[in-house]
Amino acid sequence: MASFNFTGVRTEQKTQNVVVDIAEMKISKDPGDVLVTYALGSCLGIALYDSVARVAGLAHIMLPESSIDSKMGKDFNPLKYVDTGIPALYKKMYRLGAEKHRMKNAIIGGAQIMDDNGFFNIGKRNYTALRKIFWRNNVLIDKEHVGGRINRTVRLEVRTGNIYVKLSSGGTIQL
Amino acid sequence: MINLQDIEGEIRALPPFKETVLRAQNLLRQPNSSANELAGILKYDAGITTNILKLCNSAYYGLPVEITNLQQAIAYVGQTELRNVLMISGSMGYFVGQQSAYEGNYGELWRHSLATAVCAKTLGWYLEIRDDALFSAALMHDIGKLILSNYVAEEYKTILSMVHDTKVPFHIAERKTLGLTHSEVGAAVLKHWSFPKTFVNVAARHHEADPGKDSDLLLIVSLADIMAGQMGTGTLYDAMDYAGYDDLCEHFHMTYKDVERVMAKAGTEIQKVIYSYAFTKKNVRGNSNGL
Repeated sequence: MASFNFTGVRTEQKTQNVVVDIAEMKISKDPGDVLVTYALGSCLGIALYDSVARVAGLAHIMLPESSIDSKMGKDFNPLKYVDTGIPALYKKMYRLGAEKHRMKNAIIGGAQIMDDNGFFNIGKRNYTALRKIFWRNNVLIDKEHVGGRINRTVRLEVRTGNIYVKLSSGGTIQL
Repeated sequence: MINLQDIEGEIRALPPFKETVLRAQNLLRQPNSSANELAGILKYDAGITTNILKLCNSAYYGLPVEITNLQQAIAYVGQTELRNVLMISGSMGYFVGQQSAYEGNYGELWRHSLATAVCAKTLGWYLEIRDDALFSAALMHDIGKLILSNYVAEEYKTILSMVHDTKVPFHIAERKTLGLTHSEVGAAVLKHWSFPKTFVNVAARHHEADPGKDSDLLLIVSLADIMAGQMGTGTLYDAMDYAGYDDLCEHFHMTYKDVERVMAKAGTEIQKVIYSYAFTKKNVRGNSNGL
């Protein structure tokens, strides 16, 4: 990342990628961190940022509802599902000093294959589940880049809160 | 327009598939095969043995002990998993090399193949359909993309605009534009390598499976392919440009909840497989060693 020091000389600040895998979340306060999640298909990427506390969080969630899971085993992973993963992400953000009214969110992913209403409309169902849980908790979506038939890679800079989405159809956009 | 004869030379030019892997696969298919017999076939190929041990010791299996010989490998990972590892070992080398025109990122086609294999294995487990070939057949289903890559590179704009304008699935646009699909080419490749007919059939028909007449193996790989694409491990141009095969779900009496349960289980396993066996530009040298 480029910036300028007080003598006006351009300096390179060191950043490191922190990879968020499928059904995982990463939270960071380290300004050098860039949270990255690769290849969101029908999965959702949920990015949160509190610009005062300078806390960033990114989750890569696969499926809409945890009711399909027996939840019995020790293997239960709340980050697989929208309805359990989003509360988990918010809670972890709070623990690092973020506050709900200051947090901005961005929703990325939820792509679809060709039929919109079949068994495989998981992207759409993920997005619906997210709207439901946001609505119940009085949260509005701030930014989103969802749907379509493309894969997306998301980068969230902890220093700035900037979000970049790389599209499989070509190009990178800033949300 | 091209036909299979036009690309026959390119198929023949591929390095032959390791015969030891195919012979070992055949042996493992027989119910009474022993670890000693298998070791007998594989011992002449030091590279394969080393690879098998390396793959068995990868994080994917997370075994409590280090596997140092083939007998141990069979005892710890079992015959089915050993077949899977053998196929990974035999096929990975074809995917390393130049970037295919189907890929947005280097190594994407291999990651998609691994993910499809895991989804197929998981579907088999969920549906209680025991077929040891599920993983291996799924791993090879897109092999035709290696050959067709050069032709797709020239015509991909035409193919993509056909997909987007007329909403035909990707393989139909391939056929209309190039005269051939990656499925047909894949079948020709596997036939050339003397793979079993079931594998050839999976490659040939994985976008056109018919629940009325096709084998469960083929139907499962077709579903697994779509699931893998949904989980972000598709290839660049055709990850999502297919329909969803609801007829196949209905054939297996699966609801959308069953589809999600399979994906929930496969998702985390895919991540492990990719960490253990996938390659990127950075680690390709370390990983491609004989694989």
